[in-house]
Amino acid sequence: MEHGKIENHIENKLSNYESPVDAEGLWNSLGIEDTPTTHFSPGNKYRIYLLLVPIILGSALYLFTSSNGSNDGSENTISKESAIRQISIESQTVNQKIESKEVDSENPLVEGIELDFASNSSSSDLERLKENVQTKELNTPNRIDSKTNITTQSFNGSDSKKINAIFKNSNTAVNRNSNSIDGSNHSKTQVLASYDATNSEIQQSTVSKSSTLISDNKRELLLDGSLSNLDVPSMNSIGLMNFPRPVRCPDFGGRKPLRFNLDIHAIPYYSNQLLSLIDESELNKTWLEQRNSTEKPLEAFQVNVLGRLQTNSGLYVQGGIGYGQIDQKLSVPIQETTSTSNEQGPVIVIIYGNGIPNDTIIGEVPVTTIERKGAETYNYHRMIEIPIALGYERRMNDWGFYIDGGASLNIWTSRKGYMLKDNKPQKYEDVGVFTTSTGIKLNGSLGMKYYFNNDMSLSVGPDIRYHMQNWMKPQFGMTQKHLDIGLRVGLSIPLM
Amino acid sequence: MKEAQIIKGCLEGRKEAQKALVMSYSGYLMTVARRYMPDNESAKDALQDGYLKIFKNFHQFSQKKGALKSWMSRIVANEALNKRRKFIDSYAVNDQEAIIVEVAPKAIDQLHEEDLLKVINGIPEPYRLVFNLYILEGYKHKEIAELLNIKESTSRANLTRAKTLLRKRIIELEPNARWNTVK
Repeated sequence: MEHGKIENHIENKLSNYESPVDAEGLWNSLGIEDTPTTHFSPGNKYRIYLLLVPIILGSALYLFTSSNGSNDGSENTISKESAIRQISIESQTVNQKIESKEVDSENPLVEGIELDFASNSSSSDLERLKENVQTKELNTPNRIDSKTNITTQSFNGSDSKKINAIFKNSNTAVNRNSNSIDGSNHSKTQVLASYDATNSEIQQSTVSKSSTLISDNKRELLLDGSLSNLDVPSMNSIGLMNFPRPVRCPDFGGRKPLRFNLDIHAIPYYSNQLLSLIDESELNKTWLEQRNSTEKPLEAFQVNVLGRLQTNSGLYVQGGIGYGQIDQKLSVPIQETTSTSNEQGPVIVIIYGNGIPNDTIIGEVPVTTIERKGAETYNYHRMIEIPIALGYERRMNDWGFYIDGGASLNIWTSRKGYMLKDNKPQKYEDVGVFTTSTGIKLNGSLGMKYYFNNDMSLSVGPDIRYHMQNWMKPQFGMTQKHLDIGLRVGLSIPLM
Repeated sequence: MKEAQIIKGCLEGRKEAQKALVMSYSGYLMTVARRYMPDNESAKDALQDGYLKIFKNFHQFSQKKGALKSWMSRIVANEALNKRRKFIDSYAVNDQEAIIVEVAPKAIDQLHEEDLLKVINGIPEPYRLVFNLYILEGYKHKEIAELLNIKESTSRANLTRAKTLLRKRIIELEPNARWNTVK
């Protein structure tokens, strides 16, 4: 081996070496659920959504109706009739001997229900139970769940801190007992605890006491009528401490269903003014020719600030506000016209001789007039608009492309300049040919995008827009529209 | 699934592509993780966290900047380093102390990759980290210095020391190896 080349040999040996590893297990431990390889098209997705909507609505309606009035955080008074009905159902279903037990009757915080279940399913006991219920004001937040026979709890939100303290203490016990009782087993009836959350005299000490009681008074009524403390498993015995190491759920950054971006577009345009006649009179034809020959486009540009809502499929909708300006130049070439006329004026009378004028009389004097007509003015049309567009973009590594199209609604227009009218340059406001709004224009663009590391992107692409509305008032017999072609440069900044 | 399809799918966040990536590259990336971690379990942990980072930051991967394999190996190496960072500064070595040895010709060739990994993992961690980063991941000394929060000179010295130790350990595996110290 050559001296000093050990690293090369090691590199060669290990560069492609694959250690034995349970890739399947590793994949599972990542916590990413496997999904079918079918790639749903957007259409299929919508169909699934349509199917899911009634299911979700139905579930929500069911949950709402089933929980209505029972566990809404307020103290509930169970109606006597419903209590009787529930307990009757209970006793019929159980159909076993269950001794009645008074639970937590001594606890001032716990309003125990004197549950006198129908032992031996005898009608007399059942009647006695009904009497108990009927004669007792059931002002308790308890609701007896006929399926699981577990008394659930409800709390008054007005004392939430205290209740939370209680709940934290009792939570473990509740969970454990839930483990030990089969919800479908109707042979057990358990009352965990009930709270009078509206009791304003709850003190911290009693809170502690109540939590102790909740833990201590877990009892189960067995089929043979005996009462025993529940065998509450310890944390270790149920293996809570031996759970696998928590697996972090993967965060697929940038893959939210909807993303919101701030887009800034700067678009220099070449604005092509399109004039056409409505009234094809000779006068208008001449005017149109004069305008075409004297009005030249200069620079035009548009700056848009847009919010963009984008789906993972690449479709997006964007809207915002934009400022645009179209500059033009009116250029009427300077023309000289010479005219001669005789006008009345002073005529100097020179007596031939020494050449000294010696008299002045009023008479006809020939006057030559040279007239220079011409103009060069810079005009502008300024607009504020609300652009809305739909688009699609697709990303391929750092690069991507986009295509979008939409409309812009003009909300403000300002114009200043001159135009040739009646063979002379006149101010826009003096002529009064223009409307106060440029209306709606359509625009579309497609181009390339480059994505930076932080999801910010820069886009460049041609942009075309067409002003649909006639800028001139119809009584002037002429339409003026604009077709602008430009280069859009956009910066997209992800906001959320 | 081909690499191009995996890349495309992962960019789109498709789980089947992510699974294919895990299935295809776990062996190689496990080797990377094992070079930095003391045992297989912690290497697996580092690899697992590395995958989560890979998926999270997949949009930053650019084929122009390099192959997917090396991009992922750097992420896994970084993840492993983060877990072991506290041990890094515990060693430093002076260049003067380095000795140069010759390694028997067939010693490395006769080593199985697993044995070679054991040899590498047997040298002190500061040397091993620099060796792995410089030789196997392709980092520069300046980058290593920033990554490990050590001086550039320390990185160079640790690399020299790592090579020396590796030669020594490898040559020890060769029955008839020569061991010469060159001044």
